[in-house]
Amino acid sequence: MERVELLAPAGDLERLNVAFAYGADAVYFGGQDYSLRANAHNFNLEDIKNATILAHKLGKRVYVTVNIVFHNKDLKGLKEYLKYLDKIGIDAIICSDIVVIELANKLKVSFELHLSTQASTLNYEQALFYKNLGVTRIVLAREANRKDIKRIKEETGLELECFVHGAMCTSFSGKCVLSNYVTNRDSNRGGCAQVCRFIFDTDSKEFTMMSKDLNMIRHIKDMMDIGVNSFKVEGRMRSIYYIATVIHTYRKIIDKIGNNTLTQAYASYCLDILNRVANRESAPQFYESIPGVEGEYFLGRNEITNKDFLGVVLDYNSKTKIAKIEQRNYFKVGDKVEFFGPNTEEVEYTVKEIINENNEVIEVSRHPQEIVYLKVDSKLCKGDMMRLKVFDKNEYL
Amino acid sequence: MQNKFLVSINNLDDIEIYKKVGVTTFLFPLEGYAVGYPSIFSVFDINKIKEENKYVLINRILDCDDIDKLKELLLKLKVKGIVFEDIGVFNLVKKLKLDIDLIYFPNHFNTNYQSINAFLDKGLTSAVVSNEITKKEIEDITKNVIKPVVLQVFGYNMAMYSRRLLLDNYAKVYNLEKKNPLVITESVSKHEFLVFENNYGTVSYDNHIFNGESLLELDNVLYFMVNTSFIPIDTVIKFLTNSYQDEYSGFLDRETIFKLRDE
Repeated sequence: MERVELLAPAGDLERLNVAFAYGADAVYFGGQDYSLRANAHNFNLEDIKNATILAHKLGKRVYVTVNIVFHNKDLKGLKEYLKYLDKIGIDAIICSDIVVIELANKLKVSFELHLSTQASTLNYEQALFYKNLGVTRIVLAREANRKDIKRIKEETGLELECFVHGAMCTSFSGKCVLSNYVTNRDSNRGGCAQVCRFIFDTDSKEFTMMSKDLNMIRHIKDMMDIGVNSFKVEGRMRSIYYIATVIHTYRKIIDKIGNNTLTQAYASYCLDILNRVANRESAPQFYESIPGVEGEYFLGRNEITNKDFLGVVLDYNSKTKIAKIEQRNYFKVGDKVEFFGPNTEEVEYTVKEIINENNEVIEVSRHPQEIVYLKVDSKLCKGDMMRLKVFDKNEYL
Repeated sequence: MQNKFLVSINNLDDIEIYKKVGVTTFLFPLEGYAVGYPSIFSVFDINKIKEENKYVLINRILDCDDIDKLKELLLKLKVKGIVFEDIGVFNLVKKLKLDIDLIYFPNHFNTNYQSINAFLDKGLTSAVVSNEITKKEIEDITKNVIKPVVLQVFGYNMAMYSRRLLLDNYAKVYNLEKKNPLVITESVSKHEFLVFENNYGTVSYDNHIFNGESLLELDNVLYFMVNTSFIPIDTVIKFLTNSYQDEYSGFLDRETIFKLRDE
């Protein structure tokens, strides 16, 4: 089995660090221009350089999204931008507009060209068209099913990248301009207002066309078997807790498949963890068949934000066993929590005593980002996450 | 001018009516390969039609099985050319060495002349320019492309294409009799969309008839495309004979934005 890649979103340098720490092999992000998340924080030129240096020090890779659909005037500065990305040594760009591919070829850049999911590739002839232009990897449409993925791999030999987790467009990516009509924000240049999640009415009934999220945890092994090279998580604008949890979970799954230790029970546990971290329900969507009513939301947003994410470990003293925590959500003495991290298996813990920065004993930690201290006997590491304990892994195993 | 119109056909009887106003080139959505069009035509139907200037429309995003089946259909089809969404069709036709026009129509893309030229340079006959850009941007494209392009000048503009069966799902979840097409309204803006579904997916159109009459003055145009779907033929004839009054011009004079703040 080929070594596969776990590819994480990085909305900023903090998320990039979390993604790498929690097991991503590569990250993707956008610059200040030419990227489809025009209103995310995004990376400036210096950030891109620093991210690339950091990634390469860790033996990891960075991909920069240059994936808008360009209007005439948007082309200004593109050549200089590609030259800069080449100079600082990024590993690949993710693009859909042929003008970017042609220009990169003309500049003889060293980085790889990955075709964005915006190009909606579902067949091998389209993949071969772009292969002939120098594209080395195709990010398949989220609508690609198992049969198409397998066939495209067989017919083209290209690297294939598939989304495995996160939000879905209702439409084919790139084939929606509802946002342009309703809000005047151009969806294909990064301004999408997600109008498919808005409320519509007809026949006096209100509904949305909103898709549930994608979740492929049950199919990772099969996807590896049919030749998927890169497993991509959506969510450049998601929280560090989301990134940590999702990347950590997929890392575990991929590694367990690799050393043949994955069990159905563990996969079930992971599925529950993933479902809990998202604020929407999820499904495998198009992998086995075209999703019906079960793949969509029809009424309201049905998005429930839980308060599971309790804090981040800033430091841990092995001698005193005191953990320094930056609080993210309310917790109190008596709460059952768990810590997890890149090198920390889930550590169960009942909060016995909370010390604040004034060295006072408090019953409740209620202020976001306040610093508190907990005595935790099990070894923790800087960067570990603290969450409410909802699922007991032992009950699954 | 009339011989520059490329008019989609809803009903074979309409062809004679269009010919009376000088239209000579027609577009037929191909059965099994078109979405968003209420009338589709089989290879057999299309081959029977006597007109010389026949194009077929293949506007689906195609999967591998579709591509396999399309090989056989293309060898049977007798048409002047294909208007298509999926660039895989171009690759396929080149492999089959068919001598037909290839007009690339990736809805919402083709928004700058350098990209269009890149495709034209690969051997495409022409490309359909996006309808979500301004007239000024379209004009810049027509002045800078290496081959004449196709401009959309009349009809409902496509606003979304989903592989999901959205109307079917909606009817099922509410236990309603399925309406197809269905007009839906975004509840805040009150913007209406006309939604139509077939087995291959769902298309939402902006529920205003786009009038791109002002584009007819532009040069370097191969065809002016007229989408007649869901529009009475009398209305289409009014447009073709320069007597259509509604002036809704979509984005021709309305530039979209995408950054909400300065970085």
